[in-house]
Amino acid sequence: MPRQGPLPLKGVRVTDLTWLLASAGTSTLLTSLGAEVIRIEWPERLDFTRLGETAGVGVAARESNPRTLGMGKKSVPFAKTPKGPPPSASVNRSGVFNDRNPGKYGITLNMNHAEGRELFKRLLRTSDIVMDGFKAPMMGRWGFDYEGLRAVKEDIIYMQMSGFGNTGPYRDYGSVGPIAQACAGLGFQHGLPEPYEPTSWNHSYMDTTPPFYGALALIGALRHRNRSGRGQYIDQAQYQPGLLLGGAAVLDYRANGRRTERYGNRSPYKPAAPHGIYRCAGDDAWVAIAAFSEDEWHALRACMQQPAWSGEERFATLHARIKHQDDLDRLVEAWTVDKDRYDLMYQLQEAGVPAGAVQSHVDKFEIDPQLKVRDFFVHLDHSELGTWPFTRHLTPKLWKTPAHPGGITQRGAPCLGEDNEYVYTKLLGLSREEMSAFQAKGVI
Amino acid sequence: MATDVKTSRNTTGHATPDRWPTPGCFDDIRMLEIGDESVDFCGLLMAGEGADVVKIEPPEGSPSRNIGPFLDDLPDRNRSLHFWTYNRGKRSITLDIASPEGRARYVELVKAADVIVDAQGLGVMDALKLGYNELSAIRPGLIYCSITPFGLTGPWRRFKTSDLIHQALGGSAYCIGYDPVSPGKWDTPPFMAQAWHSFAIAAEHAAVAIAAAVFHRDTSGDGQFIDVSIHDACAQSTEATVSRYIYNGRHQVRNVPQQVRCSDGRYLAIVIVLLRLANLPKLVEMLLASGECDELADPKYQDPAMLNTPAVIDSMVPILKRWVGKRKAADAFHQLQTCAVLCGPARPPEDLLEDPQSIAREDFVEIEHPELNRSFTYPRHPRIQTETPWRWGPRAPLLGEHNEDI
Repeated sequence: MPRQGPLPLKGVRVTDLTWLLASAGTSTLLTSLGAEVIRIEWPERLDFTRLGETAGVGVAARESNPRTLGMGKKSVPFAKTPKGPPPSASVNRSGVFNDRNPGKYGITLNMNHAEGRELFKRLLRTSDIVMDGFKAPMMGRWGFDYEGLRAVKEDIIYMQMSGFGNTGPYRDYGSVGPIAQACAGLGFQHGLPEPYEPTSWNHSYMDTTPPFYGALALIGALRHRNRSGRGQYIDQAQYQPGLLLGGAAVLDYRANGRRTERYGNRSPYKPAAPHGIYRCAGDDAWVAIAAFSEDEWHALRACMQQPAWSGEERFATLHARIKHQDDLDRLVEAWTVDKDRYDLMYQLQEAGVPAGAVQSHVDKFEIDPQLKVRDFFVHLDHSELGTWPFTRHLTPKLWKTPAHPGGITQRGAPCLGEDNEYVYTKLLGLSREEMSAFQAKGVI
Repeated sequence: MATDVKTSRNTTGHATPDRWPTPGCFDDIRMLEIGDESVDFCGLLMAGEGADVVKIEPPEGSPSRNIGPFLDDLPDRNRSLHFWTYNRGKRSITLDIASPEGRARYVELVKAADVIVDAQGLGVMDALKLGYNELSAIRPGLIYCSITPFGLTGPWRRFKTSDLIHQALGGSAYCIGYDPVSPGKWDTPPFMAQAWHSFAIAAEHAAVAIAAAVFHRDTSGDGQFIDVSIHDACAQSTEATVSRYIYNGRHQVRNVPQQVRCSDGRYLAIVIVLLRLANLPKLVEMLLASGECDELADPKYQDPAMLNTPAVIDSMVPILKRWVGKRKAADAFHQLQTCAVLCGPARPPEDLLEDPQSIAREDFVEIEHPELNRSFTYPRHPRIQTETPWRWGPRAPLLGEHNEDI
């Protein structure tokens, strides 16, 4: 679906030295909102999400791939999943890179070459924002810490997205999503109490979350610059949004002396019972059910056809149900275990009980009718991979200025150096001869 | 343009948002916030960026005032640590929006507001004739952000939900849990992430959308409606799991990420699949020097070219894990990071209070609660910045604390 309406960040230019997921995902949010994002890469130090696997070219390949064919019927048991093909030789055929970087311009620029750094300065002079995702000391080695950048463009907004930030004893430490979610105290909170280990997420939550903090800071900083004439330096460490995401744990510890414990799928602070995830018919099929009120409990009983146990004194009040929730969970699961998870969800919702099937990544793409109606997936062309569905990175629907993953280019991720000509000749005014000379010298 | 004269003034003697010592990116924006626990985090984010966030509460208080834990475990509308956590930097006024007086008061507030964030539930404000259509006529340029469980459209839009239900449908629960007992078979269920993440995720999407809408209004003068679906936002939060499936048919398995139980009972998360990015010669040297890893004297670990092959790296993993298991998580963390091994201790949030990095970056702050004559410890900020630092306070408002001020 083509985008409609103006994009709110139209006219904003971002010089983008981000990579991987968290920092690259931040400039992608700006892209969705219409910023002109120029991603700088260099073949000798490639973003390794470029080296991912691909099934082939375009949706036709997807549809003829035996591993994705016909998967819409039900979730596919893990055991039958074959291994992926070997990594492709091209650096332009990674699905993960494509999905993470649509709408950006892509150029090659050798920052280790003195003339490369001069070209970088020319780009910098025309930019509103510079951002990077390296370890904290990296940009300074090229002379482009905040002071170095300001010497070239006084009101530049510079955001650094390193793992642990640009100050403190861990400044040189490395981080990726799983590390940030461990160190920030988040992953510890999920799963069963000791002696079970904490489960964390098995995906990089702290790669999808920090981009929103980064983007919010950058839009704010643009606004502040427009009002005051002043740029600024933003040290957006990957772990740091986690401080706000840990809930009341620190406050509870300091105020009440209570240490963090895990409590599975229970809801101790907004009382509910049952409140859990229950096994359903089929492989790895589950449904979540929550009953907060008496009405919801009685509706659940009705759905279960009023089994005798549900009328017992030990389940008569919310307080009693919470006290006996181990028993309650077993009895509820005995009812769900031979039923389809989606059938249960629709039946319970119809009766007014909060319930939801546990959906996998496959279910979200193949089954979820809500995401389909919401246009959660949009198609974009990639110059080498053809047309593919993309997830919307910024999901809210802005009625006058709708965000779109394709941004101003309406294209998937750039191939390596795909926009050298546009950026170096159109934006920076180099001649073809100058470009060729820079190419020959290994600068671009 | 966007600015209205603010009538609020300080009566309680502590800092109010409009008297914060540093500028905020949105300090000319007044935002009204109304709804249940799904709205709180969005206001927290915008208050942090400087907006004057006014929480509109029913006379008995917002529902999230009833969520625990409570100070001294004594349930009370003004003692919810949950409410304190997510409502810093805001002001509170109470009104009964269904009554004629409450309605009139709300309309007056809207006339001086730039943004409304409404999580009252699908159609609730429209039924009261206080939805976007009515209010944008009263207040041109209004930005109206609706946060609902599934958005305004779609077959599931009337479903009842909760944090648990959102995490199930959105796909995060599918990825949280213990290892299968055999391929495709689990004896434990998927788990939700604890700490109200579905509402945080939706708030992050909402805040970026609101910021973009304000930025657009700065130049165009146009307000707009924003339709936020908590489900859409949660569905987007599972990293590359969906795209890996779309492109490769590849499946995310539910299991515990790679971590090692250390001698102090804490776990150290290690990104084993990226071990190749470590400084392997230095790592081998360090492990050998411990006297516990003599296997690494083998020539294949001494030759940098051989060391850099997948088979040799794989063969190091059990040795590395054994070494980690004999140490405290924090000690192993620092030693391995000096060899560029991507690792970090899985620890509870309160451990960050003593963490050298968090201390150096002033990640926590004491906030005064003058009515209790005490102060409490809060996270200070989600980042550090030079011109418009995040506003961490003042403490969450008492119920109706600013009825007289506004």
